[in-house]
Amino acid sequence: MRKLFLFLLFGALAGLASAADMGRSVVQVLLYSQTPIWDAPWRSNPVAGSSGSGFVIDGERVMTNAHVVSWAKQIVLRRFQDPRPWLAQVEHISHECDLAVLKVAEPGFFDGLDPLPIGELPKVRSTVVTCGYPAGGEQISYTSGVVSRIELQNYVHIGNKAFLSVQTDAAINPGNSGGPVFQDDKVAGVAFMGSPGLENTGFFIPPSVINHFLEDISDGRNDGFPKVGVRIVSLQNPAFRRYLGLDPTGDGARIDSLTDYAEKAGLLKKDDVVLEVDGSRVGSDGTILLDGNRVYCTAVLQRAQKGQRLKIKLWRGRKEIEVAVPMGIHREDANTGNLYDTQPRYFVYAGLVFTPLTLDYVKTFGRNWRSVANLEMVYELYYQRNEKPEKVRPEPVVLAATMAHPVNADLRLANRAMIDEINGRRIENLEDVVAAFKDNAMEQHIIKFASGTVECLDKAGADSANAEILSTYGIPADRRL
Amino acid sequence: MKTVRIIMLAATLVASSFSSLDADNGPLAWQESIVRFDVTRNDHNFRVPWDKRAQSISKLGAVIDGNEVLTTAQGLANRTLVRLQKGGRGRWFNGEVKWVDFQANLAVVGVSDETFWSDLAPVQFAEADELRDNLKVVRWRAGNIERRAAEFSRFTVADANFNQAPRIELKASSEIEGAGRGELMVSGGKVVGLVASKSGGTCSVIPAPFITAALRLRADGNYKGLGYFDFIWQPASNPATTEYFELNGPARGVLVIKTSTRPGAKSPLNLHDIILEVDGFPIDIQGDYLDPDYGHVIMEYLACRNKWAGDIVKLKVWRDGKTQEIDYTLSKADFTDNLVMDRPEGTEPTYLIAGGLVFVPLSAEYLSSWGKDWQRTAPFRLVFYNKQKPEEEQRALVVLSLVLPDFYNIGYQERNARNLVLDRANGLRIDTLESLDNALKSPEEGFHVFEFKKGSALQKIILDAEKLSAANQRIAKRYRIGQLKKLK
Repeated sequence: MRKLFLFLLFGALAGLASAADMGRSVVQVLLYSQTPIWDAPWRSNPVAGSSGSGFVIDGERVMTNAHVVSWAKQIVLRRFQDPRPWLAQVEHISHECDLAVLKVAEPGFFDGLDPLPIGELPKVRSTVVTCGYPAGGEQISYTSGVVSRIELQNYVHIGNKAFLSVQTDAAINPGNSGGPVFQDDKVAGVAFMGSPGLENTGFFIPPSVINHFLEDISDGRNDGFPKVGVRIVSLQNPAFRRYLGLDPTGDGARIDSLTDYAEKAGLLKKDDVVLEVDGSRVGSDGTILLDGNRVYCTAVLQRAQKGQRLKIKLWRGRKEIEVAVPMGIHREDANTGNLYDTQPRYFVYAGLVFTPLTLDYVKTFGRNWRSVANLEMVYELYYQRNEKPEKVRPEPVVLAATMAHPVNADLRLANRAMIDEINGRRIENLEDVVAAFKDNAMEQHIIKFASGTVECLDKAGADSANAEILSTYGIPADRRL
Repeated sequence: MKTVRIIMLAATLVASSFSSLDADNGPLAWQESIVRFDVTRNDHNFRVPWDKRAQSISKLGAVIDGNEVLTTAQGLANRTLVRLQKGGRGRWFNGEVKWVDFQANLAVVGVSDETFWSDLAPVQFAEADELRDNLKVVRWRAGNIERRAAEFSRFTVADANFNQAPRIELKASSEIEGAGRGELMVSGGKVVGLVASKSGGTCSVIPAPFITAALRLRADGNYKGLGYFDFIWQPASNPATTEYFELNGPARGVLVIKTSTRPGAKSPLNLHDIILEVDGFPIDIQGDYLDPDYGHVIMEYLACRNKWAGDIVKLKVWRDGKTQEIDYTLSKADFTDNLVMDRPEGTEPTYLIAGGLVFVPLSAEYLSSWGKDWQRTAPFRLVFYNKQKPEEEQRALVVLSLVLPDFYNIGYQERNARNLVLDRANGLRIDTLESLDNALKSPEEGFHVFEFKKGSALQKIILDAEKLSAANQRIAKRYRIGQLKKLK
């Protein structure tokens, strides 16, 4: 996986710009945001200013990237050549596909601004023009380039999902994020990220993903992208094809593994060969032909909306069959991606800070968070679910920190440790932690960690110190559940 | 009379201190007792297991009684030729490793050519109370004896890289460059220990009392190897915890949180026993005890303080509200049966190549092929197996390490088909290369079916059984691999 970074301009805010036709409907998005501190979840980082771009779409809305308006405290829009600041609110945001639509409450903002129509997926080698408010200048900026390639790409804002993405050599720089990419007077994409190691590579979100998002929110709710829960791998080895009773050089890719929920649903099985998805023929390398480009077949699966049934033609038991797979939303892997806009859950008791095991939490360990000390947490977060689904806890909990007080000062294992049991109760989520302490009838609380280490707390002392610890360390509430 | 006696006494003191300094410093000091080694060995690349690369290592050793040379075990694995040189120059003599223990990191080498031993004199080892003062590191350098000052820091007990074998080490700081190859740490004409490694400015030294004890046992034919505590404990420093386990009196001891790390092993310990004493030494709440020779060190050392594999250590534990005496038999520090097998003594890499698929055992050597920082740089899943214990039905693991491209294995040449752990082959559970070799004898209806562990990036590979032997021959020829399998 290539490392990508987000083009978000932090720090100095750029000023306003001059003219151009299509550019009239392109706005600058000025954001003040505040992110939480994941290992001290009642606290927040300092307020930070940043800027991006956006554009007017149908229904008096402004489209931009989710990462341009995440953790917003205040969003201000600036129209083309208009010094007046306009306050905006997020109407819908999809962190998965890095898109958001904004509303402006005050009338007048959309006067004279034409909504930009969403166009088609541009062809490889065709010319596109990016437009936005990148860093290093005060004017609106246009750059043109060609479409270099179209493929599934990891979307770094969420971090653990890949969607269709278009690569271009048009300069996309910090501040361009959320701005439109034009072709033939229509929006061919939303600029969103670049690659630090490569020259002249910017990426934009193609119309299929934009339209999916717009259609999804058209009922006033953002459901997200449904998943089938299978891993489809290439089926090119002639022996493997013969083993399944297929022509050695034909089409079709193989289902190598299924998530727990897909296995339970029972519609798809291991070693099913996927021949066709929603009418698109699947090649032996797992790709389909999409507007003249071969892209991985999940690009088609991602076209479906929640609740739709997707027709999949399979080769199973040496026969062709067709199944209609209901497309459901599954968020079982939410904690392995970056989380946004929801304050972290926590519970503090006797100075012990409990919080769910999330990627955001382990990232507080620094760049080497995958190092040895945290093997158990990394395994729980990324591998347990696939290897031993029967042992998975819905929400593994960690002791993130201990706010020092005589009542807890003798705990040796006081932070960065995953909880197994408290007072004999297996901890499956944060609510279990609350209940385990509350329901304890013994004189001590017994905390068993995943490593096997046991720590005890004097119950009476802990109960009486609780309020004092919260006030000493400025923790406004003992829980956020 | 009185005056004379005092003067005489002073004179002897001066003389003796001079002589001890002389022992270290004279131009000829130590040159009769230090020899150079030139070891040629096969430095195997466990990721290309059929490939042998000769490597030459130079190191040092100390002449000991009985016309033998003592050195560290490092670098002696997979040796093909051991040569020795005395006097820092001149002729090289062929040597023969007569005894080696990789866990203890000690080896004894003999030279059959009698002429080697003329002009050589055995060293004298220091006692436990002579290990701290006037330290020097001594070695041959460019034909001369080099001596560099060293300063005692502390004694520690270090774990091995992959397992729990405890080692007592003397730490001393010195500015000597590139040490860690069996240089002598000396003091007052006696050997304090062998320098096993150096990190930053700190030398790790195998202390003399440990060496002499091991050599004595070896001479008597009673050497049994290192033992270790095959249980896991946590400090019992939290009074609420000890109170919960009803330990009366002052805080002391450590809490057992795993009674054994081996599958099916019987331990005389119970979960949550509190260990109060080991061989009469009280254990403090950190898990340390006061050693008469080495000061406060961690209790793991009591598994090798004059104790060896198979010996009994007396434990006093707190169990069910009262103290109890337990005889604890020390397991041998042999980790070849770990889930990730550790064979420090060195073996030729084993492998099995089927249709270009290269299978190797998951071993410490294989993980080490990612370099010193393997815990961070090797694939996470493989590293995590080193934390997991063998089970009755899965005592070891076999990994698909790489695929040698050939049309026969097309479709399996992508990155996701590397470093996968085998679960089954042709329906049979795989734990060793032998079991894989055996499974390949019974293909399923003309196909070899390889299934990898749940959660792997690729879970199934199929090969054509009929065409396998032709593909093997073609691949062996194309990649110039003399032997397609080496199971032992």
